[in-house]
Amino acid sequence: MGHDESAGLVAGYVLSALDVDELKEFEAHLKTCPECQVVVAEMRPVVDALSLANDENEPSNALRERILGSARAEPRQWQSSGARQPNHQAPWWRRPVLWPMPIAAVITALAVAVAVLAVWGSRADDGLSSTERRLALTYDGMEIMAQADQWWRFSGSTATPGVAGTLAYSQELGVACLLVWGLTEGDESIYQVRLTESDGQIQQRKMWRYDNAMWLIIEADPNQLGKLEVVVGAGDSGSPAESPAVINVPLTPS
Amino acid sequence: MEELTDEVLLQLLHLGNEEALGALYDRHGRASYSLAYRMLGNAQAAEDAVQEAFINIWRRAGSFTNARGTARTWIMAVVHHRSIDIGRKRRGITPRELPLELERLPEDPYDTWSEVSNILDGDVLKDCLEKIPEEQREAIQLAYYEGYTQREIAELKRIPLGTVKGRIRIGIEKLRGLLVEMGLGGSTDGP
Repeated sequence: MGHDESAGLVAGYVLSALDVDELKEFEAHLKTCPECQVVVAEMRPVVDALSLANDENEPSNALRERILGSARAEPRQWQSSGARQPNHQAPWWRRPVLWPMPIAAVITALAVAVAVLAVWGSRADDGLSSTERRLALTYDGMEIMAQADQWWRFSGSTATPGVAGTLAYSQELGVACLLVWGLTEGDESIYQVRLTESDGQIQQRKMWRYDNAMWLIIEADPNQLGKLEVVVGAGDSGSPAESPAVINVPLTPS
Repeated sequence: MEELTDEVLLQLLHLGNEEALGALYDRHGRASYSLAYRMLGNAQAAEDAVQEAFINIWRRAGSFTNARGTARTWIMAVVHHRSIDIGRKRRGITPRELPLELERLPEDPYDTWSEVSNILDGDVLKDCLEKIPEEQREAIQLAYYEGYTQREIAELKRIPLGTVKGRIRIGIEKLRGLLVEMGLGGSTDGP
C-alpha cells in the first residue's frame, strides 16, 4: 500500500471504520510513515472526544456485580500454569482501608501495625514462588498506596520506551511502594532498585517481577534519598552494581 | 482506592486484584455505558457491551502501556469496539472482530483524554457536531456510533467510496478545528 492510498484511510482508521484487511495494511504502513503518524496524532483527540458526546445514562446497579462475578469465574494465568488458585479475597487486615469508616481509628491502628509487620516480614523472602505470595505482596503495596501522602510519577528512559511507573510514600507507615509497568514482552531481565542515600551509601534490592510489571516495597522515606534508580542486575547483592540506570525516579513530588 | 491512578489500578488488575476492577468500573462504568447505550440504543445490549469490555480489560490489563495513551482512552476504545461488534451482530451484519484497541504510536504525544475530558462535557461536543455540514456529520456518526466501515457507508448511502472518505476526513478536520479554537486538542508541536 503506497502513501497516497494510505493517506485516504487515516480518518477511517481513527474512527475504526476500515475493513479488517484495510486495517492490517494501514497499520503496517503507519509504523513506517512519520507523515501519517502525525495526521493520526492530530485526529485522535477528536475521536477520543466523540466518546464523550453522549447523554449520560445510568447502567443498572446489577451490572457492577455481574462484571465482578464474571471476573471471578475467569480462568487466569495462575490456573493454566498449574499453580494453586488464590483466595481472591485478601485477609481482612490486608484489604484496603476505605476512608472514612466507622471505627476507623481502631481499624487504622490495627491495619497500620499489621501492614508494617507484613512489610517487614516480606523482607525475608523476595520470591514470588506462589500466587498467594504475589497477591499478598500486591495487597501490601496497595495498602501503602491507599494511605500514601506523596506520589511521584515517571516514565522510562529511551532504553525503556513505554515503561512508566509510580512511587507512593505513606508517612504514617514509613514505607514506599514502587510500581513499574509496561516492560517489553519477552524481556527476561532482572531489575533492581538502587537507593542512594543522602550520605552516598548505596543499597540494592531486587524488584518483584510479574509478567510485564514489577514492584517493590521500600522501607525508606524517598524524601531522604539522594537517588532512586532502577538498574538491570542479578539478585540482591551487597555490592552496588555499576550498571547504568534504566529508570531514574525523579524525587521531586508530583 | 480513589488515590490510585487508572494506570496503577490496571497494574493491580493484572496482578489479579479484583477490587481494582471494581474501582475502575466505578470510575468509568457510567461513561462506558453512556457510549455503549448511544451506540446500541438498548439497555441490555449496552450492559452486555460494557460487561464484555471490562472482562476483556480484566484479561488484558497487562497489555496496557502508556504508549497506548491514557488508561481511560484505552478503556473507552475497548468499550467502543465491543459495542461495534455487538451492534453489527444485532443488525445481522458480520462482526468485524476488531482488535481490542487501535495501535498507539510510541510517538503519539497527546494525553488527549485528560485534556479534553477535564474541560468538555457532552453538550459542548454535541454542539461541535452540529456545526459541521450534515453529510459530514452523518458519515462520522455512521462510522463511529453505528460501526459501519467507510465502504459500507458508501453502499448504504449509494455514493462513491471516495466521497465517504472525503466527508469523514474533512468532518474530522473541522471538528478538530473547533476543538482547537476552544483551546483543546493541541497542535503537533508537543504535549
